[in-house]
Amino acid sequence: MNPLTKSAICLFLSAGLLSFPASAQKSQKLTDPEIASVAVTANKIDIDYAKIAIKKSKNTQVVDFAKTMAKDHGAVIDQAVALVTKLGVTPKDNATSKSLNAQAVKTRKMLNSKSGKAFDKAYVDNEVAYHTAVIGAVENVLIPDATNKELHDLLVSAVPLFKAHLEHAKMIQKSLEK
Amino acid sequence: MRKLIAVLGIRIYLLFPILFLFSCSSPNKKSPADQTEMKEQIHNVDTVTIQLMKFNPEALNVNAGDTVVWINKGLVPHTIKSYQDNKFYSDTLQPGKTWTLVAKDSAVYYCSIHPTMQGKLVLK
Repeated sequence: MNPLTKSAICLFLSAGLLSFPASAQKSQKLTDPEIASVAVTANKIDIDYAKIAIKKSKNTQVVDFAKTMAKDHGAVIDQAVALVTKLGVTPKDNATSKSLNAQAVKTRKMLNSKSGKAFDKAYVDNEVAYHTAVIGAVENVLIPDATNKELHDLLVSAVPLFKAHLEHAKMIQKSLEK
Repeated sequence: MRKLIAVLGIRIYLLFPILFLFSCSSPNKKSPADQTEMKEQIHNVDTVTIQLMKFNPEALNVNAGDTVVWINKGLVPHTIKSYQDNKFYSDTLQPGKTWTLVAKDSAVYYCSIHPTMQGKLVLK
């Protein structure tokens, strides 16, 4: 992918409610240890959002969805950790993973400040925006940049899972509007 | 002469039941028990693979009595649950595990963990 395309993705994502950090779309290629770090960080962040929802929401649909997010993203982390252990790769903190964490601090603060139906809406809206941004970043940055085939394949196999999460979140978003 | 006729008569008398038995065991006329056995023998075993968040094949044509095996080749656990009156429910199927059902009827099913995943069994 050329730098111009990456910049375009960056702009596109930045226009959303929640953006994947600009550094994720940087022109410089991410290394495999950096990709592993970004992948694990992105999954951990969604587990943290899910934990807040499980604690705060009274809506069964929202709580069940949050439990699924916690389990599924936990499973992806387990696979990623198993793979990097096998490959002898140590995930390397980088500007993208740091930026993701900084953004997540703000989002957690926002979620913790809400309650009741306002919380449910904020959590589900954030899930829709977050999964949209993550899918874009995985498809357009992490997968093209991955050099190790197994890491590449793991990222490819995770995309349909994230897309199913996105569709599920949109279903709940619609039902909350009623 | 009389003796010869008597011997022939006995032989013919003995031959009738044997011929009768042979005619009953003709290969074209199976007893009901044999027919049931044949039907059981032609029941198929079909596989539905769960991979990349899809049931593959999404629609499976089956005969009543066929065995359907779902195998989870995905990253995460799934379930197989019928929409109609809870006809069947697999409970949680971990990655690498299988679940088997003997098809009795057509059914539309989904994964209760990931409700966007759907499939169906279509009775031929």
